[in-house]
Amino acid sequence: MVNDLAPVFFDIDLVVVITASLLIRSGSAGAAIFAFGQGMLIDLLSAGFLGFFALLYVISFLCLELGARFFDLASVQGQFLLVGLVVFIKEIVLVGLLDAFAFEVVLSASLFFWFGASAFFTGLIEPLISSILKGVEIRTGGESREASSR
Amino acid sequence: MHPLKRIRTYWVWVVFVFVALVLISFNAGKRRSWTPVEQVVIEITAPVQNFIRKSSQTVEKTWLKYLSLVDLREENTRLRKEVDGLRMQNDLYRELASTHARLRELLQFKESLRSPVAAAQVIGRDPTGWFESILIDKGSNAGLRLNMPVVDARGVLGRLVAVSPNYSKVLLIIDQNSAVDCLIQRTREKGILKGLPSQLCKLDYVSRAADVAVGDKIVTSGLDRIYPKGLPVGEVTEIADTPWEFFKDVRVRPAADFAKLEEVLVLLKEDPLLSPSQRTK
Repeated sequence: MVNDLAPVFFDIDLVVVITASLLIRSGSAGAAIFAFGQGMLIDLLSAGFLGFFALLYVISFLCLELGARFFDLASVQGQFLLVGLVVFIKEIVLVGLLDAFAFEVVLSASLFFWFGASAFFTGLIEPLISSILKGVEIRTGGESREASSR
Repeated sequence: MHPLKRIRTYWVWVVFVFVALVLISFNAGKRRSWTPVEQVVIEITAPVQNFIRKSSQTVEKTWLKYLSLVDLREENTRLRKEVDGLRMQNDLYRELASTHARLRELLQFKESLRSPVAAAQVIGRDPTGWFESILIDKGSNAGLRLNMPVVDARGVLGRLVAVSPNYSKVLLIIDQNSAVDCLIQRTREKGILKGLPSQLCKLDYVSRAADVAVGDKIVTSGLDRIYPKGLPVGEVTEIADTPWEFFKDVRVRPAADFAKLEEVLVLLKEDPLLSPSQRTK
C-alpha cells in the first residue's frame, strides 16, 4: 500500500523553496505573507480543513527563520541543508497533524525514505531558484534605477 | 583565291551534285538493301551513334531525375504536412468519439435518475495529494448548492462541500473525511462507507453476524438524506473477520474510476442538512 502512495509522499515543495528565497532576498515579512497566502490557497482548493496547510507553511517559515541563525543562507550549502531539513520537518509535522485529525497514515521505513528524497531534491532546487530570483531582482532593480535617473 | 583553284573547287561541287543526282535517278522507285560498302560503313558508325544516343539519354534521364527529385522533396514536405494534419484530425475525432461515448453513457444514467441534474466538467484535482477532492466548472449560478450529490455513469462520486458562483468543490467518497450511508444490495445489511488511502474504501459498522461476500454490490441507503437511495457505490473486494472485533473489516472498490474523472452530474436536490428557515431564504 505504501508503494502505491509513494507519489503522494514524494513532493518537491516549491512553496518552501520560494519562501526561503524570499526570506533571503526580501526579508521575513514578505516570506511570511507568501507562506501563509500559499497555505491558504492550497486549503481553499483542497478538501482539507481550512487553515491546515496555512499552519503547516507558517511552521515551515518559522523553521526557516530559526534555522537561518544556524545555517548560512547566503551560501549554496547553507540553502541546501536548511531547506532540505525544513522540508523533512514539514513532512513529519504534516503526518503528525493528519494523525491528530484521525487520518490513517501508515508509518514505515519507505515513508521516511520518500520524505528524505523530497527533502534532498527540494534542497537541491533551492540555490537554483534563489539565483534566478537574484537575477530577476538585479535586472528589475537596474531598470528601475535607470528609470528614476531619467 | 587563285582563279584556277576557285574553278577546281566549283568542279568538285558539280561532280558531287552530279553523282548524287545519278544515284537518286538510279535508285528512285526501287527498294534495295545496303551495298556491302554501305554495310561496312554502317557497322563502323552505328556503335558510335549508339554510344552517343545512350550517353545523351543518360544525361537526359539524370537531369529529369534531378528535376523530379526537387519536386519530390516539395511533394514530400507537402505530404508530410498533410499526414500531420490528418493525424491531428484523427486524434481529434478519436477524442470526440470517446467524449461522445462517455456523454452517451452519462445521458443514459441521467435518464435513469428521477431528480433534475446539472452536467459539469472536472477542471482540477486536490493540489495536496493527501485529500481527495475535485473542482468542477459549475457553481451557484447553475443552481448548485452545498451537499448536493455528484455522480457519474458508474456511480456515486461525492458531494459538494464548497460552492462559488461559477465553481464548486466536490469531496470524493474515497477521501478519509467522507462518509456515505450504504447498503449491501444482496442482503440489505447496512454500513458506513469511508475513504481509505490508495483510492479504496472500507465499509464500517458491518456486524460480524452480517451476510457479506466478496463481489457483493454496495449501494446508497438514502438514510443520510444526501445521496438518493439505490445509487451504485462499489463492490466488496476483501473481508476480514477478526474474533475480538465487533465489526467485520470490509474493503470496497468504488464503482467510479476516480483516476479518469472528466464529466460529472450534480443531482439538483435541496441541502437536507439545512434547517427549514434556511431553505426558505
